[in-house]
Amino acid sequence: MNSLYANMRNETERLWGRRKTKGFALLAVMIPLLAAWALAALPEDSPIQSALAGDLPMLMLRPFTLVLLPLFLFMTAADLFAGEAAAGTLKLTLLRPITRAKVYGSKAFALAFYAAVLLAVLWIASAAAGLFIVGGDAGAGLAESLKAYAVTLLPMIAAGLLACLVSISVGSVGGALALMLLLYVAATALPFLYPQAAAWSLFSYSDWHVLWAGGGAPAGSLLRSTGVLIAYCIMAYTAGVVQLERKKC
Amino acid sequence: MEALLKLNNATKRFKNNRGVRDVSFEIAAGDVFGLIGPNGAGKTTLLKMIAGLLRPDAGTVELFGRPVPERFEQAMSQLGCVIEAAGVYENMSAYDQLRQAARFYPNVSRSRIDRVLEQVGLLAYRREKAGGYSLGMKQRLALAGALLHEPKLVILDEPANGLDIEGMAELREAIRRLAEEDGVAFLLSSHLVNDLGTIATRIGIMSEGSMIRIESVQAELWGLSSLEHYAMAQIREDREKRKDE
Repeated sequence: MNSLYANMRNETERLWGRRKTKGFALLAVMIPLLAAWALAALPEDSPIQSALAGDLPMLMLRPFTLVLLPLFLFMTAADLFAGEAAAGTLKLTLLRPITRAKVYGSKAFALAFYAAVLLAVLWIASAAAGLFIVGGDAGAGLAESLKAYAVTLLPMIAAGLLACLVSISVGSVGGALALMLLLYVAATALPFLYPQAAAWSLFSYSDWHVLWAGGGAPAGSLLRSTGVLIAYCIMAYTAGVVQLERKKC
Repeated sequence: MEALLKLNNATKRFKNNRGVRDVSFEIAAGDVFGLIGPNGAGKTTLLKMIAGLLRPDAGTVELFGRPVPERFEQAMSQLGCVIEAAGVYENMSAYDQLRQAARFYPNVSRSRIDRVLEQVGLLAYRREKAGGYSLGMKQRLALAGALLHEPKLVILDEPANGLDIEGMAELREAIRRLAEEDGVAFLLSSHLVNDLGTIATRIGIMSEGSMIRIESVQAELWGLSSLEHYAMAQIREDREKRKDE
């Protein structure tokens, strides 16, 4: 078996074996269900219910990409590199017939894979909850929300790759997680003080899907922001590979 | 006989000026090479350089006829290693960990996994999570991981760590059998010097980053004294020489 493919399978299996991954998947199911039950409990002619019920997937996406998904990415990235280095299991993989660049690539793939899985689970759970519990308008906004969920994956991958870079550069799980959270809070708060920083702050793109909603933003704007996110991904990935190549184990 | 491992003036220096300096030796099929030396002599650094975990600052490390960075995956597929403390995935069973390791190699069957688990005495615990294993059982699992793909060269750093008397005897027997019957070469480092003397065919003595002696293991070499006494005498002599310089 190709060593990259072998380690991609190993990393995805190992991540699924963690309680944290299953816990976040459970939250991605439970939160829309609870929100749907709360909406269903409102009076039928309530303006809040009619405004929100039809679009439960979109309603769920913002809090998920603002808090839960970044937290999952930071915690998982911290475990994948700093955690494994501390436990001696990173060395276990490096002593197998696989290059360090492939080890990094397979870990980054596993992280991105579960970001996609969590988004898919959230979309399915919120769409189903919206339809069956609240009784929203079937199909109307589903295609639109599916597009929003799909495009959200890119900024999440960029954030995950940045978290991997931090994790491999910092010696401990706690340190990596604390630094990532600090960076996240600072980068999220900075545009409030300096609005022009929003264009360059990676975490300002967590609500990127809004640009794609409805008719969408002008093509030039979408192209520019897509380019910025891809550039972030390439830079973070390359820097991460270099860091792992230089890491003493 | 062609060398499986060849070091030519391999050197690695750290910021604290420790490391290894100008180490050269060869290991051929069936050799059991024991590394002896005090703490900080550079044994683990040397093993890490051979396994590709550290890059030499100068000199070369050749595995199976090629420098280590060249065709790295091909070289590593014929090498089995346990270096420093045995890392294991605590939330996975021994069987699952070996099943994942097997994906890196062609032709490692499920029955091979069971056979190697039996060899290290873990077959009865194959489905238990490694988090509940004792230190010795974790060491046995690491050994199983190193032997799983039937490598031509096995590097073991302090393999007796955590092993009980029975485990140590089994390990000695397994090394002897694999070296004699299958021509597997071993590079071992251990603090249990006299124990090493019973299985090694050659001994390398390291002191302060240098390989100060490489000897064939022959009882007459150190007269009536033990290998431990012989090694200590060599190390003291080397230290005196360095002081004079």
